[in-house]
Amino acid sequence: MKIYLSFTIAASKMFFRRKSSIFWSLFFPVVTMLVLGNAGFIGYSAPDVGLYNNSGPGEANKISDFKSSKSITIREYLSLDEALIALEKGTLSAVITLDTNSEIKVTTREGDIAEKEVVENFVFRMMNQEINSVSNVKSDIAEMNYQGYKGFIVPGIAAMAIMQNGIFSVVFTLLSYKNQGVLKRLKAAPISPSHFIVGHLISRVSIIVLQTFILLLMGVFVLNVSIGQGSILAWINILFLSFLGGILFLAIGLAISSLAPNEDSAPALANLVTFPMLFLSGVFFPIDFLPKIISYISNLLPLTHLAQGIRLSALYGNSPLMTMPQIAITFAWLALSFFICAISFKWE
Amino acid sequence: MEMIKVKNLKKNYDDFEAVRGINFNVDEGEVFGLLGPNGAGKTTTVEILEGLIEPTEGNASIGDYDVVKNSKIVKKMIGVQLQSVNFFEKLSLYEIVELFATLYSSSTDPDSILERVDLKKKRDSYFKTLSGGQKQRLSIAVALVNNPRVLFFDEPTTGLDPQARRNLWDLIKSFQKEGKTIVLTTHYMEEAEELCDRVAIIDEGKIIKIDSPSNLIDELTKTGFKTQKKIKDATLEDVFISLTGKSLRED
Repeated sequence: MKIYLSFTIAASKMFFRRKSSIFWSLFFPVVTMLVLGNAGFIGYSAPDVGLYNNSGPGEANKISDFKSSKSITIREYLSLDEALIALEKGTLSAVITLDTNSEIKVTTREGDIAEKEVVENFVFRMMNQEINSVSNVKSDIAEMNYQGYKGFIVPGIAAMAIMQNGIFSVVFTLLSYKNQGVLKRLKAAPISPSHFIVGHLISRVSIIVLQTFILLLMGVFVLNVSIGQGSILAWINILFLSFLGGILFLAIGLAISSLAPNEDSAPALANLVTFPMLFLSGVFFPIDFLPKIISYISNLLPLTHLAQGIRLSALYGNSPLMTMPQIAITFAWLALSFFICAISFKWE
Repeated sequence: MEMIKVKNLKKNYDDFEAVRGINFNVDEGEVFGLLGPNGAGKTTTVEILEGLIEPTEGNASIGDYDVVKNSKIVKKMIGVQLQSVNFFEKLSLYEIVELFATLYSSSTDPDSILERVDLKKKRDSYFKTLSGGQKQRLSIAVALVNNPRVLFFDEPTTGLDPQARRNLWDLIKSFQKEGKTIVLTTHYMEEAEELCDRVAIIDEGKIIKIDSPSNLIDELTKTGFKTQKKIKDATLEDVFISLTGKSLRED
């Protein structure tokens, strides 16, 4: 026990004394987050508009008219709640509701003036109506907790940083100890080398949880994003997910270093694994933006679910129970990585 | 009393036979040298004794404990200085010695060990800032944390300047005075002559000869051999030391 503790303390000291580790695990994600969160230059206005028919089958013609539009993609929803959730998440930029008294309601988020105008113009055009004439088109501002792109990017960057720190701290740090012969000297001591590896991993998981916490605090205080929506359980869930994700990506790092044919190819292999995930896992933009086929791939990747779990808790205050699917998939990936490590790991 | 016993030790790496049936014993308190050119099998032999690699055939014991079956007991008894010395770069010398003391469940005071190898002044420096000689001395300090009965030194003076080399010799002699058993590998003959009670000359994985340095020299001169070099009363190294002084340069 004392040996694990000594290694954990030693590994943590070395982490905080190395400038490059501070740079990559804290400075770099914080700067990326602040730059993207402030600029919001990936114009985060979803291209799709939801359509909810509340007026019975009589309006079928109108619906197919709407859907045939080439300028705006219309997605039909069977319940208004579902459409509003999509609007809250940012998948939709507006919802059009066809009501019984042949009234049409355009629902947009507060502050999305451009979206409101574009969609209302579209509806007028479809109805062959003059914009300023008396009409049955009503607008409606939805009351919801929508935090825009900065709300999206903060949990995304937190998840990205978990992956980067987890994988690269194994691939670079542990491999360099191995290459320098430090592990060999440890092997000559009357301990199992697993003491050292486990101590190192405990230190890194703690650092990863701390790093997530710091990134979220930066989001709260610098970008004014509301995290957790006042729910302590949501915060606990975020830290639990980063703990779980930390172990997962450390295990993936171990698997990469065991599977790499030689020491030089391990960092390349690590980049090959992390790079696609940066863009396909909903870190910088929602996976709904991707073509259908690619979004199937996205749904297989571990970072997608980690980012989604953290985002659900951060933006909507989801408790651990409400992110069960994400937690379960992370566990499944964890089991798979442990299995690969177990069959391929070599101390030498 | 025989401290180390090595019987018919063999080690193969795929097709390559690194060690091909080696036998020797080392008495308690003896300084035993393994001499040979690079690639002769010295390091492989020592690393088998240290429990770092397993022999393909044969066996070896230290203090009557088999180095493979009782490797944990053996590792607790011995102090090890490996050929390529490396420790954690961003830990201070004090922290490194303290960490290794924990690994050996030893309660030794790191400062007193650093004092012993003349590194007390550097206790708060990081390993990467040390000179070659200082790194070797730290490596020896780490080998001392468990107050071992047997010490292994693998080419401890390779790449050191004459001052640092003599300083290390003095250190090794002081361990001998304490009655520790020492196994030393080297390819410097004057080092073996200076330090070793007996030497084994190894080439291509086999021991060619074991005896004390002076017996080996006598045996050669009896055959009528005379060194080509005219022996003077001093060597160039003596000149160098007398001109530049014995004090260490790196501190």
